[in-house]
Amino acid sequence: MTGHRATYQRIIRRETHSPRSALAIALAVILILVLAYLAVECVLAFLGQPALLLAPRDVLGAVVDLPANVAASVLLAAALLTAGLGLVLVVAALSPGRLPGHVGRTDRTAAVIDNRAIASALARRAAYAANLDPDRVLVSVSRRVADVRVQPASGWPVNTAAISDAVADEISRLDLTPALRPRVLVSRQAVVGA
Amino acid sequence: MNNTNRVLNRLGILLLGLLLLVVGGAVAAASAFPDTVAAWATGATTGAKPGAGFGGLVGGALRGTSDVARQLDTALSGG
Repeated sequence: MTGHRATYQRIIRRETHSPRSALAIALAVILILVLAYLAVECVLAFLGQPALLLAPRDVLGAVVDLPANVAASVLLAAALLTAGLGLVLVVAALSPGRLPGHVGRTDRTAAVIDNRAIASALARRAAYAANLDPDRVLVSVSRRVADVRVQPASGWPVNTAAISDAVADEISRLDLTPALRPRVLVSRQAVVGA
Repeated sequence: MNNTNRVLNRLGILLLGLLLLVVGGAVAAASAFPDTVAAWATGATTGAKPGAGFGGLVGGALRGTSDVARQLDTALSGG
C-alpha cells in the first residue's frame, strides 16, 4: 500500500494540474513556422535568388534603422506589448495551473472528483433538505468554497440552518482535499410552482 | 503525458517568455531613454555617437567589440 502511495500522488498531481500542452504546442508551431521561413530566406539569399518577402540583410538593416523609421511612441508601445506577452508566458510557465477538481481521501486508489460532480451531489442534498425541486438549487464549487444558492417556492419557507447542516454533512462525508467551506444563500424572491 | 514532457512544456514556455521579456524590456528602455542609453554606450565603447539612438547603440556596440579585439591583437603581438 505504501509503495503505491507515491504513484497515487503522482497521478493526483497530473490529474489536478494542467500540463500546459496546448500553449506549448501553439508556441512550438509558431516558432517552427518562423524559423522555417527564416531558413528559406537565408537559403535563397545564399543562392542569390530573389527573396520571398524580405532578404535577411534588409531585415537586419530595418531593425537597426527602426528608430529612424518608426515613431518612438509606437516603438515603445510595441516593446511594452512584447514584454507583456513575455510576462504572461513566464507567469503561465510558473503558475501551478490547477484544474477544477478535488482529491478524495482513500487508501485503495487515487480519487480525483470533478467540481461538477461535487456540485451535483451538494445540490441534490440541499434540495432534499429544503424539500425543493433540485432545479431550484444552484451550486458552484471553487477551490475552497461551495456556494449553494436556493430559490424557495412561494409560500413555502425554507430552513436555512437545515440546508447548511446538510451541505456541511455532505462535504464532510466526501472528505475532500483541499477542504471546502459551504456558503448557503437563500434568495429573498420566491418562485411560484417550484 | 509523463512528467518529463510536462517539465519540457513549461521550460519551453518559460524560456520563450523570458526571451520576449528581455528583448521587449531592452527595446522599451532604449526607446524611452535614448539619450541616457546612448551616453552609456558612448562611455562603455568608443564607437557610438551621442544621440545616435538605437541604431547608433547597436552599431557602436559592434564597433566597440571590434575595437577591443584590435587592442587585444595589438597587445598580444607586442605592439
